[in-house]
Amino acid sequence: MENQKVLETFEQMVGKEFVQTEEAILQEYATDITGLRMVQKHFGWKSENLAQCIVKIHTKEEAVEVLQFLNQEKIVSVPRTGGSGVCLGLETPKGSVVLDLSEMNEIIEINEENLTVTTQAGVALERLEKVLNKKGYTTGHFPQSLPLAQMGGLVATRSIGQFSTRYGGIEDLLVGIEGVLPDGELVRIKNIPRKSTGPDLRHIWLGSEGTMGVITEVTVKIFPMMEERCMQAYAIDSFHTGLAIIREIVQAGWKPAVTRLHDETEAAESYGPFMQPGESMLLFLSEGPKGYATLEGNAIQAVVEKYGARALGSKPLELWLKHRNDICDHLDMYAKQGAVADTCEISAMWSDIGKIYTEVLERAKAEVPHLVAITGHSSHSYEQGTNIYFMMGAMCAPKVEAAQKTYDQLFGIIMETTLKYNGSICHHHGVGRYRAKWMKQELGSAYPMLEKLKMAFDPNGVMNRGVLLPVDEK
Amino acid sequence: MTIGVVGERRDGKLTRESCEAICRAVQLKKQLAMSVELVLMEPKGVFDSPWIDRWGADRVVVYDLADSERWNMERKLSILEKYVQETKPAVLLFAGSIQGQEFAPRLATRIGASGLVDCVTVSADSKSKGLSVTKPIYGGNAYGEYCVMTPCFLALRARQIKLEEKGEVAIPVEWREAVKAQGCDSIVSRRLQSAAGHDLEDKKILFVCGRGIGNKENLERIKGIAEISSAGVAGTKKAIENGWLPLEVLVGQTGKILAPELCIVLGASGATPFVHGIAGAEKIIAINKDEDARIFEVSDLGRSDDCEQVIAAIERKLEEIL
Amino acid sequence: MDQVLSADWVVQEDQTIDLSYANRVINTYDEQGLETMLRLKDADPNCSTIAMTLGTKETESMLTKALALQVEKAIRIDGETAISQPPQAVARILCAGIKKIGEVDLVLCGRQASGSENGQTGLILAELLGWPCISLVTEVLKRDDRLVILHQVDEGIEEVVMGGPVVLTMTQSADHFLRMATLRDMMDAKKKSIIHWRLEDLKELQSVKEAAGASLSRIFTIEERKKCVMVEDAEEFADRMIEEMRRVSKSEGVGL
Repeated sequence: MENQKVLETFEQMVGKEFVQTEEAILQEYATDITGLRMVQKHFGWKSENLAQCIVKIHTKEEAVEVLQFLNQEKIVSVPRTGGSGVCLGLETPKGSVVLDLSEMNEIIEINEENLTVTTQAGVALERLEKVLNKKGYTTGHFPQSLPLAQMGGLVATRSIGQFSTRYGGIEDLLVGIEGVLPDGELVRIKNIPRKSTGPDLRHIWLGSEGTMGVITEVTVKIFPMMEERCMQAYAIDSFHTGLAIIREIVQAGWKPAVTRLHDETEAAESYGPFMQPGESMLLFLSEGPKGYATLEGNAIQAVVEKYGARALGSKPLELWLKHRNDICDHLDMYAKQGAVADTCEISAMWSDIGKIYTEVLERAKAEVPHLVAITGHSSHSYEQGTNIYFMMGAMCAPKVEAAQKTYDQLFGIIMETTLKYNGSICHHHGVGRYRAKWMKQELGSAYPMLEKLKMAFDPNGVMNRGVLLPVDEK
Repeated sequence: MTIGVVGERRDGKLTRESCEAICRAVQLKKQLAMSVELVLMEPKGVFDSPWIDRWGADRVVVYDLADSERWNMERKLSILEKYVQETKPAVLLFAGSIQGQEFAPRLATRIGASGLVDCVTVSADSKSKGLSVTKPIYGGNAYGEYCVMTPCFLALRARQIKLEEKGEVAIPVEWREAVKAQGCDSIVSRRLQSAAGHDLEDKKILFVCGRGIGNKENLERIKGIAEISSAGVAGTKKAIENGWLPLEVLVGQTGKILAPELCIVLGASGATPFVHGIAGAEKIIAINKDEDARIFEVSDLGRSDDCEQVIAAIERKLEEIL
Repeated sequence: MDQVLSADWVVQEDQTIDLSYANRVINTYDEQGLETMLRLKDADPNCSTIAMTLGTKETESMLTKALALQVEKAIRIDGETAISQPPQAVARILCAGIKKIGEVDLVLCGRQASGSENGQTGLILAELLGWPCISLVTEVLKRDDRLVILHQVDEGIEEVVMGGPVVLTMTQSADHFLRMATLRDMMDAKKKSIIHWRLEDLKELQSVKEAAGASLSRIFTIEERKKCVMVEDAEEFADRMIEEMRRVSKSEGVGL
């Protein structure tokens, strides 16, 4: 069907003012806030693969109608809410249609008896938190993208927050969900605390990144705001010792809401005056019902002291709390300074994570010319392992291709090293389009399971083509 | 003994900062029992005698400086040097302008007097027989109080004193010859490259845009609203860093200090150095997504909302009215 | 300054504010000076570049960064600096330092230090050196033998074309930012030596006159909070805002 007819159909479905085709807007929606593109934009990057239009969706009925039509006409669509993805998950294939649900933003119900909140997909997390805080509740979900992200995207990318070691990631917080399948069928999974009724279908939505349908409504847990907090920071002489400390704490059964280990470069950069050269920084924040925070805090103290860590008080935590999301304010700072920079988070079992960290740093320093920095921190820990969030930057010529080359090299080192030691290529940012090329290696023999799911839900291959599963160029 | 005030004229009248400096000098006049002398550098014949003063100055001393030399800073400094040698003022106040902030320390060094820049309050200190001066420090998060002995050259910060008219009085004007062209040999040319923001001080309504306005399109919409009400448009450091507005309209400690009657701040969190730039506004209305933003601690009226929503609502209302 | 939590602006008994936990970074205006100097060198490799500071050993990390950015020489004049120190004293020492270096044609300083924010040191330095001074500079280019300087003046932005020597005080720029140093350069820089001078080494100090300054007698904070009326309803807020705009613009007899 020709472009004009497509636009007219959408205009009939959602109203003329909610179908946007101006080039400036299409460029704005052409990608997300992936570090690579932020830098390249500075060097003049513009998308050559603009969508044909943006369709703003306000009701689930509209979503149903639109998706049915798209499936019929075999037009690729890109579902989008907050736009804060960092893996090119929202980069538009040429001629696709962006389904923008950011204005579908009603908070439907706060249920204090069940401790849940139900919202439409376009509700901003920041707004939801404010509304809940006023009533004494919290979502417990604090990703760094909090100032930008919305509920649909947070579920679709399997996001995680800074307090996850206590509250869990989005997969632990999702109670029920409603969405529209690629063929236009509206499906709802009801709210239940736990059930044994076949595979947990919520997990098809969690991490789907727009490839299995469009999320229209979510129900997530809420928690009463905790009364007490215990914050303590420690300096430790080695990153690996820091990892051992965290392992002991979580394996003993403690769950400090914030459990972070920053390597010496990060520690010096953010907490310089507190650190001695070579020291890594441990940050712990415990919160819970009355008595809990102190109990956990004391237990943590006992463990760290055993390893000879140096107590730094709570000031580093206060600083971290205040400034943790500042980066959202200046995402293009590095580009202005002539560097291509980004972050990359991976995870692994305890027995492998230390090796991954060490080898990534070694390789980056040896192989990447004009490297400015490569650093890592652990921010989400489990009994079986933890994540490492790498931050990397290198100077490059102010050209789009130069930035791509350097970026690919840095990222490639992290991916290869992680896979070498049986880690997972992505802990919480999502696969997007950028990491799709490593998915076969990542899933190994399990890859066909994902393929079959995709074929079952989206046989025409129109939902967010290129994301999660690589597109074979035949 | 004299308190000198180095003033500036623009568009045929004294700048607001110059009037503020005279008012400050007049305050000191009583405390120090000295007379107040306004010092100008203007082309001869550009204003008629007598000089009608409204602020309490006693006399005017004007050095004949051709209009083509208006920007010759080195020449102007030599003229002021001559003035100081001739008159030996105990205190020389400079208007709170970029020029004043440059002249005060340079002249003080030449003469061997003490100098201070960005002064917020100035008063006589009977204990030391000098002056007690306060100025902001630490990004405006604190203030320092300094003891300065005379002779001292002080550049004032703009908008720190309310202008108090004292009725119109004709005061004597004395024209003096400027020193022989003594500028700087190494300067080949000077020209004004851009003149944005030079009239912001006069605007009664000011819109200040912070990072929270989101994008350049919203800025254009704000400009549209501003134009309808003859308001000025300025920006915070973040808005300038984003390339949305030029450096000349930066409001804050190291930019313009403005005191409009009505200041509408959109999308700025209210960092101290910025707040210093608008603290003198009579009424401040703030819009910010974050209801805990510090800007609400210094505003009279506030709304916690997305800037774009507020802009849209204003546009709708204005359409209805007009 | 942005790093400091707002609750911590408390003056202690000894008339200081404890900011020891805030990371030391190069002042943003000094960063402009460094970047400008490096750009001039990019354009003319014959330029020799020097970074100099007055400070204690802690300040050497900033000089190391300058060396990592390919500045050729770094000099630290040993001395304590406190916000109570008059800029006249600092400028005098820097002047002696520059005289000791010898052949210098261009000096760039930040417009003000973080903390004391006197905004005078660069200007005083120019006077002591007997050089002209251009203040609030945003950009510097070399054209043939001349410097093309853009700087802020009351009317807007002025372009000055001149020859050296000259002292420039730098202000922020919308699009020039200090480049980053690579890890390798940082590691190499750590091995390079920083030239140390003590005040006793500066014979030139004798020829620079001592000037009077102001003395800092106390530091204080002012707590000023307004009672802000927060409007819950979007329509009502728009109405009130327009009402205010009308009220004020009416008094001016314009538009609304």
